Amino acid sequence: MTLRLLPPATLAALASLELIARTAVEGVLTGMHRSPHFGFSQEFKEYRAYAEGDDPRHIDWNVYARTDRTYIKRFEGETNTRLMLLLDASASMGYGSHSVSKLQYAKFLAAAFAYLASRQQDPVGLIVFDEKIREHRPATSRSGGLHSLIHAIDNVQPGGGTDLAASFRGVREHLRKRGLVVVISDLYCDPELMTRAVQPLAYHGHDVMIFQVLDPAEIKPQWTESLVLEDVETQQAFNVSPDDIAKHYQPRLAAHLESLRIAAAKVGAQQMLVSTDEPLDQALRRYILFRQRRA
Amino acid sequence: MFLAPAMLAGLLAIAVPIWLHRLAKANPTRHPFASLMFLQASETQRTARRTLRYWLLLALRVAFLVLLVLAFAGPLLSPDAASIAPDARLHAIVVDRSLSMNYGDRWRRVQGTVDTVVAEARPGDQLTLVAASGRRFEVLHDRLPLRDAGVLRATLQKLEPSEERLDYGLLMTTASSWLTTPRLPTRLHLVTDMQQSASPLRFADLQPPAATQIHFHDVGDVSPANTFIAAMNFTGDASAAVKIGATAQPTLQQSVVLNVDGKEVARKPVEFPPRAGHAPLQGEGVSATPDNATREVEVQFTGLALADGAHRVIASLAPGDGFAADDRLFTLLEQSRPRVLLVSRGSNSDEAAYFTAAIGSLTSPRLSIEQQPAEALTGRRLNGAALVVEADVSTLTSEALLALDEYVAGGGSVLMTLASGSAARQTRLLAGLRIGEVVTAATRITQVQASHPVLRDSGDWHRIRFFRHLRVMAAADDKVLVALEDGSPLLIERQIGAGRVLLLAAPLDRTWNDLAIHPLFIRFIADAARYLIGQNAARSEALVGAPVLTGLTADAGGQIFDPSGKRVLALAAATPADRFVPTQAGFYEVRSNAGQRWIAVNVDRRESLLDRMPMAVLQRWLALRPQASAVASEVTPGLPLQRSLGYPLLLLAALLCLAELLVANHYLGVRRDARVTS
Repeated sequence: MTLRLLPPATLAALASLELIARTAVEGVLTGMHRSPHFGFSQEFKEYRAYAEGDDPRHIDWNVYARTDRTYIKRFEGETNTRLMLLLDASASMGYGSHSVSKLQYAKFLAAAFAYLASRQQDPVGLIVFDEKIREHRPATSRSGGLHSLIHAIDNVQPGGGTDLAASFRGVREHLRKRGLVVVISDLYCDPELMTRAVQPLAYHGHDVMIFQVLDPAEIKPQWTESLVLEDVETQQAFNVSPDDIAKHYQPRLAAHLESLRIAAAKVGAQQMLVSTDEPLDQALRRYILFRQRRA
Repeated sequence: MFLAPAMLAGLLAIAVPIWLHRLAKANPTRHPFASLMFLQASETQRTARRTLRYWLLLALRVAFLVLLVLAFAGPLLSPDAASIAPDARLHAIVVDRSLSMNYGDRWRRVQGTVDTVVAEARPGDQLTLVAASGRRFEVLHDRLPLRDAGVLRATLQKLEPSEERLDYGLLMTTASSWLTTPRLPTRLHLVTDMQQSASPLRFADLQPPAATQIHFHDVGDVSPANTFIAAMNFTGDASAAVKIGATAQPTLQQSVVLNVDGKEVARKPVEFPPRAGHAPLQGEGVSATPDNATREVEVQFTGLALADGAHRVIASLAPGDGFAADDRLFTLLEQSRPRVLLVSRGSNSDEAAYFTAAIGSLTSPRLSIEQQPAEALTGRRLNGAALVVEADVSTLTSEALLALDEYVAGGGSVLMTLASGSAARQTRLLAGLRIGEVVTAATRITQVQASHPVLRDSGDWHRIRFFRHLRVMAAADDKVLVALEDGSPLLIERQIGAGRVLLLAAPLDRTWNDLAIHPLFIRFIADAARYLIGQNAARSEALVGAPVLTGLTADAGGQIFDPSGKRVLALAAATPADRFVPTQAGFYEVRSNAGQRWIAVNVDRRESLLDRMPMAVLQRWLALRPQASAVASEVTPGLPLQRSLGYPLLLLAALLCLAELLVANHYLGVRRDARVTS
């Protein structure tokens, strides 16, 4: 099983981002032994008897009216669901303690989602942002659209700071139709700020999925000696020691992650933490299983 | 106060580490990180710690530089300024430990004299005790306060005279070094027997050091009587002459005893003629020398039938007098005479005369020379020859060359000269050697391997003129000991089988060169002969206190045993010790891979001459003006003693340097290891 995983460093060696996405997605789907249509929206598949614990929202009341029995509607992938990829290209995303930076990993993820949507003819769009929206590609399912999208993803470079509020205000202007919004970011921001940024999207009926991408050195730093760290966004520098990291940094990071998770749940979004040393196909599999559980 | 205040300008160097630290602080090595939003709270504390640590390094560096500069500036400290009187003096008591101080009760008088000097010293004065003998002037106590005079006396009680000679000239010329500076105005108390024989060759050597006043304390005797063995010579194969000296008319009836290899072989009475006349001496085989202050008689021993080999001979006086140290004389007698076969064109040839004269000059070992014409050389003649000297190889017959080849291969030694006809000779002795044409241009010697035993003492080879020479190319295994200006070798050493050959690539012909008439030729041939017959240049006789070549080399180790059988060389030093200084009279044994040999060590006979320096000479000595002071602050009359702090400061600087290295290495280690190991 381990052999089938795709370490980010291995994927990075592949020249084409499209090839990376294809390799990851096909590997995931083959491994799951299921229909390739694990879409982003819902399509009727079958009825089954209601069982305790099932979501009552999925009960087909028409059938109940006709038969006086409760049945649950099962759904499968449905075409024409719009996928919009929101890719954070702030300077902090350029950080990487090993061969794959956070931005590179985010690009893998974005390309994989684009490929997954494209193979079931869903329109895919892209918004690249940092302090503001740097690039916008409307969702499309045209032939050749995937290539240009992946090319656009491939060209993204880390930029300036992060301003979720300003960026998401612009995003709302570009998202007229409902669909799935995938946010890929390291979310170095105030959780409350993130709530305010994402909430309008959820209210407009978007299904919001947030991937928080972090480097393993951020999740669990392992410096053995004191050193001077410089913030890649603000250029501020501090001299830090391993003791201080163990005592202060990690509890604060854990609290921050928990706050983000609560904030996301509050606005009806899903959040998933991904480490850049996690195999890409494993991250995708986690996402799909996460979606299945949610369905 | 500083000895060299100009050196304080070096303190400006402190700016360098300060500047470096500022530079280092402004440009620390930074590691990029995604966000420091979780790291802000503890930044101040950590920065403070870092700054403190770097300050420690900076402080160490600055302190090191300050100490280094101060050490070179030579700060002077006056720790006892309050206790030192303005008229305080340093009493440097120099005790003569030479052999002659064993005479009578001189040494006991030394103790009393030193007590007197100490008693006459004033409070605040300082005492220095120096033991002088041979080439060693040992400072036993340096600038002791007068209250510690007991320590000085205790040291003196343990001191004994040595068997070495004291030279007043050496004592005074080195006084500036063992009288450390700066010091108080000094009185140099020379406690000695004022031996006339201790006077230097140059009277000016007796000049005292700067600001030093000499006081003589004569512990000698008015008319000392001493009889001693002055010399011993072996005048023939079975005879010896022992010379006995006396500083006064002996009152004791004494005999000369000849002891060979531990056994008494002869004994003869000694009678000195009356000082007034030149009456014939009494007794068989006794002859007198002209009368003077120290008289000598010679006792002849004949019929000494000694076997071949080296013999340890001791000539002694029995019974001994009150000064027993010079009543014995040790010498080595090499009974056998190695035979040198000199092969030449004829007995009257020039080269034969040159070689005979040079080899005949050797006294240790003495060699017997047998001269043979080239055509008469056979293998039988070569048997038993310690050395073959071949004046011109081109004159030898084929049979003679063959015999010579076998002789060398069997371990024989040959010294030969080449001439223009040598190239045509087919012999192993010249194998691999390319002998070219005769070069008629004048040339000189430019390369001499002066460390080789043959060339070590022979002198200036560069003065020899060559009017013509052979162009020769040495073989790869040859050792070229001397080479001419054009690189052509002049003296080559070759190892053939077990034997050894020295090739002189020029004939002893005045039309070729002036080597044979040059003063170094005799010494060179003698050393070459000694070297080839296995007698190296190490001397077999020496004096107590004088360095002796051991003949030991790094390649062939060995050990030396003193007359009492104790090892002289420490085990660690046994291999490289090529010389040593004997400390007692007797036979020293040198054992090495080359075999066993003896060195006869005697006390210097000048110590036996107990006459004192004339009063006029002493007055002239006292009248000598002290040397001019080389160091400005050497002596400051009336001011308290100032002690230089240079050495302790230098020591402290070295310690700080070590600490700086450790601290800096720690910081360096921090930077080296400061990487993420995720």
